[in-house]
Amino acid sequence: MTERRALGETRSPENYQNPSALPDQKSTMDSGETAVDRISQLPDCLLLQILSLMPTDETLVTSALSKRWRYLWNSLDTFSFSIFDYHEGYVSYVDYVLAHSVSPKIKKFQLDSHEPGAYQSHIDRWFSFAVEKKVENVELRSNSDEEVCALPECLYTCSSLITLVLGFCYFDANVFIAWKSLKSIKLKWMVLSDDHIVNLLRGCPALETMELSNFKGFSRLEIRSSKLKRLNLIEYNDEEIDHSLEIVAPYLQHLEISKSLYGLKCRLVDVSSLVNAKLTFNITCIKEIKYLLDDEVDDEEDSCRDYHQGFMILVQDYLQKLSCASKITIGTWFTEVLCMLQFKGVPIPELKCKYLTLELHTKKFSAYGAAGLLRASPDIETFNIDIAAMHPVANFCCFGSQDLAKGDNIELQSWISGFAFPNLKNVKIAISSRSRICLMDHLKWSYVKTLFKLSEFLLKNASVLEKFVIISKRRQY
Amino acid sequence: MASTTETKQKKMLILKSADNDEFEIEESVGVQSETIKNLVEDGFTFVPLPNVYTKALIKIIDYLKKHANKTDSNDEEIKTFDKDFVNTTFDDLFELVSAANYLHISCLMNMLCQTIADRIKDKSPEAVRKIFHINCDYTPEEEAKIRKANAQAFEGQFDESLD
Repeated sequence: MTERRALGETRSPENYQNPSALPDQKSTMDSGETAVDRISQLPDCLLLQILSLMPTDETLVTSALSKRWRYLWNSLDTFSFSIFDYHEGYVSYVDYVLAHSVSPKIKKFQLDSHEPGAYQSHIDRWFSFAVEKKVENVELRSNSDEEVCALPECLYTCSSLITLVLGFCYFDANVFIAWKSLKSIKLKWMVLSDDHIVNLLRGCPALETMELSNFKGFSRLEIRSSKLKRLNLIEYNDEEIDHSLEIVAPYLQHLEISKSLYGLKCRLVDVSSLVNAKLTFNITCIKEIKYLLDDEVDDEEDSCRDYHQGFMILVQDYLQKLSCASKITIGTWFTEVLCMLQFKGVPIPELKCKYLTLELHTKKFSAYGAAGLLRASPDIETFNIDIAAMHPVANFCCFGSQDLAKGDNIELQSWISGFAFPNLKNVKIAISSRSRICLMDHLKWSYVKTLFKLSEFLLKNASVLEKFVIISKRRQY
Repeated sequence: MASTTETKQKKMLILKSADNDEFEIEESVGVQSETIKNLVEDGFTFVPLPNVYTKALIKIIDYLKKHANKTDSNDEEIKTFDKDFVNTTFDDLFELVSAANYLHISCLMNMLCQTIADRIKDKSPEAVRKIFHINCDYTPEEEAKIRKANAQAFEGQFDESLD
């Protein structure tokens, strides 16, 4: 940045537009802060923007600050209510707030309830108010373990909606939905049938992002809209065995499948426009699922072989489907399956990947799986490994464990001798752990040794490398 | 040949602060501000900002530069930068929020407003008044009346600390 101060320019108080910035008004306190009430001098629109980032209860408290603040909250266009337990007082309180609202439009209406059943008629009424004022962003969640919240009928055809977040809500699969402006929908803890999905997608012609968390019910996601570019599937919420899900989304560009899928076989039938894929999900062994379901568990070591082999075939199919994606992120489970596939001699098809990230939650690190993926990606420019160190959990199943152990000790240099990474410029390895551990403490763990072996290999073979970073950090969660 | 080097050269803008300091920045950095973007679209390369003072403008240019270079790998670097950015005095925060509002930089606006909101949240009116030097111009009777009208909001525990 070049700074050019115009010649002959002097600062004179007349130049100041803002009276509060006048030097003679400043009385400096010990801390260096001025004792001038700057916040009350902000225009209404800014104060309202600040207030709209707080729960609505809190904004009412500001009415007692001074006369400047007295009626500000009446002009809010954003409401956020959390009802913990039922009492009549809260109903009249929400009614009081809404009755005093003077904003012609509502930007956002958010309601979290621990006992939606007791409030249902009121919830319907409050959302009718929001719909009348052309609400654009709605969040409605039941935070109860058992009580699902019924989606207020008035919302079904709310054409002003732009984003919608529902948690543990229910609506009938065949209701007429018309969300013609809706761009983003996030559904969590919802049971959705195939009919729900078809109906939803038909009712949201402008949808761009769909996120389903802790999902359950449907077995087919057919997205034919060229506008819908982003799909996130986060954690499957059904422990039944033998469920499958087919994804047909020829225009999809971003796909994330993460967290536990239990035993869900998720097939990518058509994702031919995929640019960015994040597949960090993990699969639970059938023995563990049966154990969780109190079913009889076959103690035979090999009893889960067919089950795992089914998933290995699925991963081979994923690799075909990912061949055009430029950004790929994979997780622990996927890396391990890759390692096993390589020992079986299954080739990894060439990938067009430029950014490859491994997100690993493990104390082990399958360098063989990672190296195989690197070898299949000649265009790779950036390679990140993000390892969250975990204490090993008791394993139900030892399928492939021999291969994995072998994979950790493999001599990378001899295995892919002569292989180079002509485009690799950035490598970042981040190691995080829950306790305050410095990198030195990690060194005695075997995965770090493997990691260093891989690093050495990359440093030797990446001819245009610009940046190589290793970070050790503390994890918050 | 001259023309090819010219096209390769990055387009630059000059921003002029309220206290008449001028700053040269890349157009791609500047257009993150809706206000600047609109002027650039109308063909301006010299942008006077009569409502933005030098001190705030330097910080905001820093912010824009950092966020213009957002890539897939520097996510955390930007998060750390943002955290440091808002870790400042209220005087600076209010100056910045007015400037960001004038310049229409929505992500910066949100971050600054959230920082201020977090200082009001959970606090009693007395604590908020002290933190922001707000002078209470209510008579005790008036204040009691308001508290009574909005009684529900005044139930429960407040955080009386001035952090």
